[in-house]
Amino acid sequence: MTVTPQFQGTHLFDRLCWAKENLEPHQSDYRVVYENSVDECAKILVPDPNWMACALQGGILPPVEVYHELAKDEAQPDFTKHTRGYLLHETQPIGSMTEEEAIEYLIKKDCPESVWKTYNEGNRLKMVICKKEQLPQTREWRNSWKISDDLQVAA
Amino acid sequence: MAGKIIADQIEGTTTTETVSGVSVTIPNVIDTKFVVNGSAKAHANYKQTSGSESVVGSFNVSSVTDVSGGKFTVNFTSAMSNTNYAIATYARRDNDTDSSAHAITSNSTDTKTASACKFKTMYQDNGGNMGLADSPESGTHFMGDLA
Repeated sequence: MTVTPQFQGTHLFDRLCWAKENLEPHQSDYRVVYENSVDECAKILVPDPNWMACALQGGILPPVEVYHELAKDEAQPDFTKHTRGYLLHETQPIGSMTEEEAIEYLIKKDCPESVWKTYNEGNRLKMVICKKEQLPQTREWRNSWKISDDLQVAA
Repeated sequence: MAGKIIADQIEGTTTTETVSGVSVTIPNVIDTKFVVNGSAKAHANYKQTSGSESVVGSFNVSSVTDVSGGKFTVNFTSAMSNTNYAIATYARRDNDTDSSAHAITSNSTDTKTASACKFKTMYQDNGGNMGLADSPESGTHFMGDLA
């Protein structure tokens, strides 16, 4: 089994270089379907296999809250460049995740906050995790894909 | 972990060429910072075709969002410093039965943040008609400074 070096304080880019060299990419079957506008079709989040390998390995990725802090900085009207990039590199990396935990992390990182924070509020679901086989197998009507109204919020 | 090479410069064998009868020494030294700063900081090869939407090759990418037909967003793991990074792209055609051309571009309003960048794949057929198209191979490369 490959052991992750002690990476706290190592630039995240360098950690990714190590992962690329030492870890096998993992193609996840999970997909995240979400809607963040009633005027647009559903979007599909496709996990990256190299990123998923890092998540499963552990000790490489920073806590997802770091990305939220950087997003806050970038949302400032006077933002010109990141000055707190050290958060990515200096924060203690998180341990290994299951594939399901990694998908939850990815949702919080790459889906709009307005979607994942309130995905099950309102009249219908705004987000669903599924297997790729459950997506339509043809893209002919891709621009009309929507989350089915038949799906119920889990109790 | 593999060993580490720490160097400020990379130097090759100095060569001499004769230009217009004059012997010229060709410099063969470069600072490693130019190599590091000039390299791509992220890349993604995204397959946007029926039933097999996936990232088939990448670096420094956490996910790709399939936005709609011909549109996708690349999300970075290690964010860029700002939004001034440069991008190189290509898109493979999905067939050779017509003479359409594919290109990857963005609208002025499309997302380009330090952590994500949205693209659209355009085609133009031999009749001059343009539209969005899913490509079996959309390549994106990102050059710039990391956060």
